[in-house]
Amino acid sequence: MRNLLSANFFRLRKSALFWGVMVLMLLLGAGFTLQRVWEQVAYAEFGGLYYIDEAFFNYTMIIGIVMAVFIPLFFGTEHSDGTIRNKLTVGHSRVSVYLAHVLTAATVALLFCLTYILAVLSVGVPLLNGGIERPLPTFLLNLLGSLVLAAAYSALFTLVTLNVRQKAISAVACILGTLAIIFASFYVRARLSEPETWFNYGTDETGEVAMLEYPNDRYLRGTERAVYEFIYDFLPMTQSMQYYSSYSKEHTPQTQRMIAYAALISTLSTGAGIALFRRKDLK
Amino acid sequence: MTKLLSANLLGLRKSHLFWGTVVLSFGFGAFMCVTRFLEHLNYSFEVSLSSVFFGYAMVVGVVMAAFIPLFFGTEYSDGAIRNKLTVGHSRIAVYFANLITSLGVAVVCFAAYLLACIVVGVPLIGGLDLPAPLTAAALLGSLLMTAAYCAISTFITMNCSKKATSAVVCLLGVFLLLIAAIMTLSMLDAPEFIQGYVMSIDGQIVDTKPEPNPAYLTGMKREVYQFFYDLMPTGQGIQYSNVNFTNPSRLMGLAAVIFAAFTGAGAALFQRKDLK
Repeated sequence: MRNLLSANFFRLRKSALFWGVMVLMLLLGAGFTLQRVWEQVAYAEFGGLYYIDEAFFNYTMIIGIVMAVFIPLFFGTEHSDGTIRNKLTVGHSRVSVYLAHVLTAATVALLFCLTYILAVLSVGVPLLNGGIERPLPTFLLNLLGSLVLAAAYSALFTLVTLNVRQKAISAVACILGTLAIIFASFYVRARLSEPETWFNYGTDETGEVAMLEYPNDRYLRGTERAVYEFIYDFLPMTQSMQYYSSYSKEHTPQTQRMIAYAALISTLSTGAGIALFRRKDLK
Repeated sequence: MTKLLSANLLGLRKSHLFWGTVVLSFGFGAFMCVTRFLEHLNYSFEVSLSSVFFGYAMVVGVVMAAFIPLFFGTEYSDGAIRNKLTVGHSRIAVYFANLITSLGVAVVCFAAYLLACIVVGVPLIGGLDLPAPLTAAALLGSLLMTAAYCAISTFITMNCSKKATSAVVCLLGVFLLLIAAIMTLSMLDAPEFIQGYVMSIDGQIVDTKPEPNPAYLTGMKREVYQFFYDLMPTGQGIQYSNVNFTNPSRLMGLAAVIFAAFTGAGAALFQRKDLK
């Protein structure tokens, strides 16, 4: 296993794709923070506080699509070049090959996130006037949750990449899967955000024109709402939305639940991935 | 050229990817109609076929960005392009044969979606309630927009020898263009005036004087944003899918410009490409 990990990290060190994405994350982190700095300068007359948090968790929205591109392109080569066969030929088990890939992918995701965070802190700490908005324990819990989420994305895309022999197909499947989850997530959030009632002008009992309250038929109630709320906490992209929109800062139990779900996604997808990979015909 | 097109068509007929894409397009059309029908059933919403009929304009870019690299990218990995050149076909002919084939695929997929709307949608949510000239303009415009998408994806696929890389570039390109179009639309849609707040005094509703919105785009800036919104195929897709466009000839002209520019540049680059 150690040899497999060393081989993967050796390839990473020489990979232009890996270093390219590292630079991209650095630029994105600096860019999002500088945008907040620009707003702070432009609206200085209103004297508001500009917090690091507002740029800090943006990586949770990006990391899914970044890993959906990186993992198939980086690990997909192992199928096309026959590297996986070579690893098995020299005596490594399929399980250890799979686990080495999952661990490498999770490490890469963490490195991308940490690079982004480093850029935000380097620009935000000296230039933004608000510091960190969330209480430190909440902030750290959100940070932990978002990193577990990045590992969950990695586990999901490793499952697809190691079980699909053609690199192009696994890349398309990962990217289209992520896009589909993004659209599903926006739909779920929109449904949960429906107001219970809505207001419009109408005539009241006295015949006067007044602003009246009407029930909203699309407001989710009972079991249906519970199902949508579960999906909202469970899906990786809806978790990203919650960390990004700082919704999770006031909902600690919900954040703990999201961390548990992300860990569950990692475990289930790794388990399923290993089961499929053990039976896979590697030709 | 005819032989190249025949070879492509034969490849298509035997391609699971092609038939899968056609079936998915039909399924997507049926899904959109059933969703609208359920909204009508559950929430008594007024629904019509017009709200879904051009919905494929929003997704055709993503479909072709996945299909073209996967289908034509194989020509590089299998050496089929080299074989075609070896037997005497010109590079231009190979490029145009692939472009025409991808246009044909896009039209077939679009037709499969429309067929689903007619077969499933008409019995459930009724027919189209749009004026005929508007329907014709949306149909013709969305076909030209589809041609522009095909030209962009063919340009990338024929000039990138790695199938996976071209698939990623095409899909990410469409995704970024979609985000750019949504952001541009939200800026163009900013209201000209904003209402401070509404107060109710003794049951009376009092509206404050509307204030000019600093985010409202005016003059040259608005023109530039509108131009890019109309130029981007994703911006056109939003307009056609909502059947909400004011100047169809401008949209069609811009789609034709994109088609011509990407096809010209793609064919020129492919002429010089080292095919190893």
